[in-house]
Amino acid sequence: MRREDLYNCYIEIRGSDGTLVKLQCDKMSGIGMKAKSQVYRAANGLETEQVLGAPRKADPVTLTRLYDPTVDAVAPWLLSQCGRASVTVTKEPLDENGHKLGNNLIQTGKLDDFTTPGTDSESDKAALCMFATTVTTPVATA
Amino acid sequence: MSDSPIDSPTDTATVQTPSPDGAVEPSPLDSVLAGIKADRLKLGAGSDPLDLVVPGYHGALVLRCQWIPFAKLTAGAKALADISEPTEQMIVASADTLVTTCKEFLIKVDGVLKPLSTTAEPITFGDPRLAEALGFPAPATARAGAEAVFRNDYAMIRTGNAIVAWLQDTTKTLDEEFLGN
Repeated sequence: MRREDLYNCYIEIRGSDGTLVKLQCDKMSGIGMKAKSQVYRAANGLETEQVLGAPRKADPVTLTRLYDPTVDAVAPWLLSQCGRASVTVTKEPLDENGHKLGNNLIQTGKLDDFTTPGTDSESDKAALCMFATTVTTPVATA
Repeated sequence: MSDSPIDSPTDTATVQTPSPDGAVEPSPLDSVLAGIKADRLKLGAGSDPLDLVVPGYHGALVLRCQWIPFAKLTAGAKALADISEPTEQMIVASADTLVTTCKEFLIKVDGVLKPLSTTAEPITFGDPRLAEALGFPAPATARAGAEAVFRNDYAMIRTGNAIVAWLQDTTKTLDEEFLGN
């Protein structure tokens, strides 16, 4: 069994202007695929329904990281790329020694949202930014 | 300005000597400095990777190593210090060096090096595809993966030491300089 902290997660953003930015993130929603199988009863109402299966659909992926100078430097560009930039998100499992172990999960799609941290003069919380993506391709494993 | 030749503007790389036909030829100093600049770009993270034959596989299995910062290499130093048995500590340190610097595994097919991976994602020590390709159970840690690949502590320590020597001077890129393969 793994712990949730034993992963590296990355977002690679390729802008419509050709710029490529790769950032390591701190939190990432689970990569998942969903399908809602259809059932169909053939012949007559006395027959047992058949399960026909269904197309798969990838869950959106959301990543969060500290809003540090690395992100700040590209923040205007990131804001301009929402809805346009291609993204690749990678979830890399680690062993207990911090070495890569197991299969990477990789998905590609588009950058939907980039949200800069909110402002609160009384807050002492870490300032986090968020990337929301719509991924369309099936999960590729390493 | 001092009269010292070191401070003289003639010591800069911009001095060019006209040839008899009037064309300006680069001075020897220019080419030396150009070489130094080019070498500098190839230092550290700009180094070409090192390919090392994994001992015991008759040259068929090759480990491609990449240069990494010292801080990354020694990130597990505290955990290593907790290992009280010196022999075990040495083996684990070597395994960590191999795992941390490993960029990917290659295989030699008809004399040509090819990635062991058939996808865009390279195969490294913690990859279950390596275990499958070499015929050992998927390891619980990448260190265990390194030990399963080498199956020989001496060879693993020797290879780890070769990588450390290369990290110190990445201009040495030939396998035989390190392992005599």
